Amino acid sequence: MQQFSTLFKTLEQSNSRSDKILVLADYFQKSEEKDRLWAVALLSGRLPKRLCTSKDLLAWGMEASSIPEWLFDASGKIIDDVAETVALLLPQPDEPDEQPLFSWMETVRMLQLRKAIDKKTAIQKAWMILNPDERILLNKIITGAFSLYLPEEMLVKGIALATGINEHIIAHRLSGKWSPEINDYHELFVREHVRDYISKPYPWCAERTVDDVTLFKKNPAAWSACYQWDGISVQLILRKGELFLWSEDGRFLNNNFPEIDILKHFLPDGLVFSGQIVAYSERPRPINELQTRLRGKKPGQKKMMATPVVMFVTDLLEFKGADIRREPFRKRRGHLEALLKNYKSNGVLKLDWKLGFDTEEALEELRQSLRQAGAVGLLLRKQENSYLDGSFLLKSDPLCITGILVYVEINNRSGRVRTLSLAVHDGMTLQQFTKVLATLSDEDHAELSEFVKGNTTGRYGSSRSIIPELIFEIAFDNVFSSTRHKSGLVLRNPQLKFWRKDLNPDDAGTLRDLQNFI
Amino acid sequence: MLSFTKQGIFCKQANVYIDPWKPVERAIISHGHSDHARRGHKNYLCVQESKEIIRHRLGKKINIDTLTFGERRTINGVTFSFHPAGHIIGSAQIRVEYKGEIWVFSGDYKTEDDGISGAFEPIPCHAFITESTFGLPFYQWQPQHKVAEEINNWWRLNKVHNRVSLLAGYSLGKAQRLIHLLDDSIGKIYTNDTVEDINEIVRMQGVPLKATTRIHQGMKAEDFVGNIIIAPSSALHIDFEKANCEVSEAVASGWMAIRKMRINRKVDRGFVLSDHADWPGLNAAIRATGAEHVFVTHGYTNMFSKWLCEQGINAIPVSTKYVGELLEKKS
Repeated sequence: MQQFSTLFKTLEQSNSRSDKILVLADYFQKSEEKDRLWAVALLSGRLPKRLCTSKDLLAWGMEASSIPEWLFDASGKIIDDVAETVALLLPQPDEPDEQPLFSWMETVRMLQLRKAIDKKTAIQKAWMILNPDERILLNKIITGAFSLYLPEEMLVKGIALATGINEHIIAHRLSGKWSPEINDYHELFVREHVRDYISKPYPWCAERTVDDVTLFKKNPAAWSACYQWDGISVQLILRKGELFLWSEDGRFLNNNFPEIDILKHFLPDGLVFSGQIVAYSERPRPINELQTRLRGKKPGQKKMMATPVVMFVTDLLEFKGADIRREPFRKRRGHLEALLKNYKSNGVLKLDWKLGFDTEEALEELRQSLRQAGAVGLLLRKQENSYLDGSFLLKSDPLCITGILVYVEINNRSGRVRTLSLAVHDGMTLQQFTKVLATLSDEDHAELSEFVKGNTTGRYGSSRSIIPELIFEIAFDNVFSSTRHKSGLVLRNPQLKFWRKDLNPDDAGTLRDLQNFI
Repeated sequence: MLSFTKQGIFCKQANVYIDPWKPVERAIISHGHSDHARRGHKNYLCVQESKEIIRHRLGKKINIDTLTFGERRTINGVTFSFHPAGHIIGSAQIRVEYKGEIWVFSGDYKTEDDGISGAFEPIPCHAFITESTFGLPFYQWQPQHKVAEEINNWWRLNKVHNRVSLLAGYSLGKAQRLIHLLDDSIGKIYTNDTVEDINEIVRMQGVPLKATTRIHQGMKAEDFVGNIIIAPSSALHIDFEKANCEVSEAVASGWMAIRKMRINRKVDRGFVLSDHADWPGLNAAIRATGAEHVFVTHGYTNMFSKWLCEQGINAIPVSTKYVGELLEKKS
């Protein structure tokens, strides 16, 4: 179990994403093969049934140690974790334990059927063999308290790196039904499956963001436009009667969106759509409402009713089993329209390449209407272009507000200012409303550091509160009301624009200004 | 024979204080850490190996006298001598004898020989004044070579992935011990000013410390890639982020024995390494003195005293101004 305990200790402490992925990959290459699937199971939260309560654990631990009860209790209060207290208060073993993780998990599984007294004897015996780090793990596993914050995509990347298998394949296999007691690592992740091909998405083609309409003025009629909503990009794949829903960052989303998964019964085979999933009730809603659907496992009826979703289909990449990405958009759109007309989707699939514009002015008008419509941009595609030629995203002008600097966060290591927290006037007081990265020139950085040094009013870890005197202009895409923020609102994509050295604190924006944007 | 006063531990017969925290006429100092060697005394007496360290920290002008380890000095019938405490370089226990009665003040100590601080020497006595920084049973250290292996493995891995290794430890004691434990075939060892100043002093005293490089203004963040820096992280003013250099930060301290502490520190690795005795160490040291009376100073004083009493030792907790092990910045 030593390899796994080292892995756990590193994952638990490391603050670096890349570091975590590398140690995972290293583990999946070097560890005992039979251990690997157990590790995957534990790290992805697939725990065996609880063997005992933490109360039992404490009692057994106290019995096994030679320490008086009061000292055991006092130590427990300081360590603040039952599994760890018991693990640390027992004597160290003389020799390292050679038993691999899987055999320990086997032991745990066998014990589940036994009487309490047998469990106690077996666990106390195990404690005498394992070192403290290993004991912590065992204790957490048997009390069902094993947990580690590890995003699934990191685990996927780690396995992919170790096996050389495509990430989407790993993600897909990981999301399926398996158990370390029945399956084995090699068969689950490494061996090629026929199904690998059918789940495979096409390479993602990112749109280019543009700020004005000049690009489209030459021949406006050659272009098609649709709104880009505030959602997540997905590819919906239907092959051999199975449906696969992939997000752009490689997450397998079928379980999160049963209303889309069910379409496999209604749509014909050999299709790949690209598009966006958006929270939708009467009209598209902002992405924060979609978050509840992206988090956690399969949603219940209640959750699905509370946050209905739709998928806006923007392109068709595969039709009747053939890759049609190289055909002109005009044709792909034709197929798409026919498809959605002929097959029912209960309104879950939507197509809205309906916006037309003949002139540059009409496009500009459309662009001005973006905010009104609640869209984040206009997606533009040339009629004659292939999918691989890409598309353009025309954004509306950002909103702006001037704020007063109230807090800064300092990078402990370099001493540079890292982030700025800004406030606006709210009656007689200041209300903090956003935090932005301090993207300043070196001279401005130096000037700001100097100011912070002389005007600090409080220190909170790496943050400093400072005298509210400096004014900065912030650009942002949108603003939403929020119950989680003290100011009652939250900005989308706030960025530092200018240091307004020409303004006084009195000239800064007000909370009312921000509320008016909503 | 010794009493605990507002100024510090006092020997009335000799009119001498031991590690006092208020300015006094005559002070006997166990070691150079700032909670034991304080400013403002008229006369200092310490062990030879500690003299330059104390002068470096308190100023060259202090009036300081020294003894070698084991050498005796009698003041008004009271005999004082220094004996290795194994805590840091130049750390000593102070033995006090008057008319056949022997007291020992441990200062800070550890029982494992770290190879540079001298080996802790148990001294038979009637009364023993002990620290208890890690005086609870879950503080049990791994042998030093095992921790060294962990640290060097971490450094090696960082080097493979082109990262800077940043290992924090206070400048006097921990820093030198870490340097001693590092495998310098992996890369270069860099230090900041406060650490390197101490390094120079101990090298002059003949302690064989590995080669280190002082960090200076002109160095670029890239210079440190694959190498290791021994310094408190707050003392560095190098912008690794701007230079796009990945840094792995670690701390070596006895407090890292608890998971909660390791995770809350927000560093990438926490190594369990302390210059104070662990639970078995404290118990063994106390038993070896054969003392009937034990006074327990800084640390988990009450709980440790209660434990000792249950073991049949007459132990009393006393309050002092010593602080034991800090995570960082102990100067």
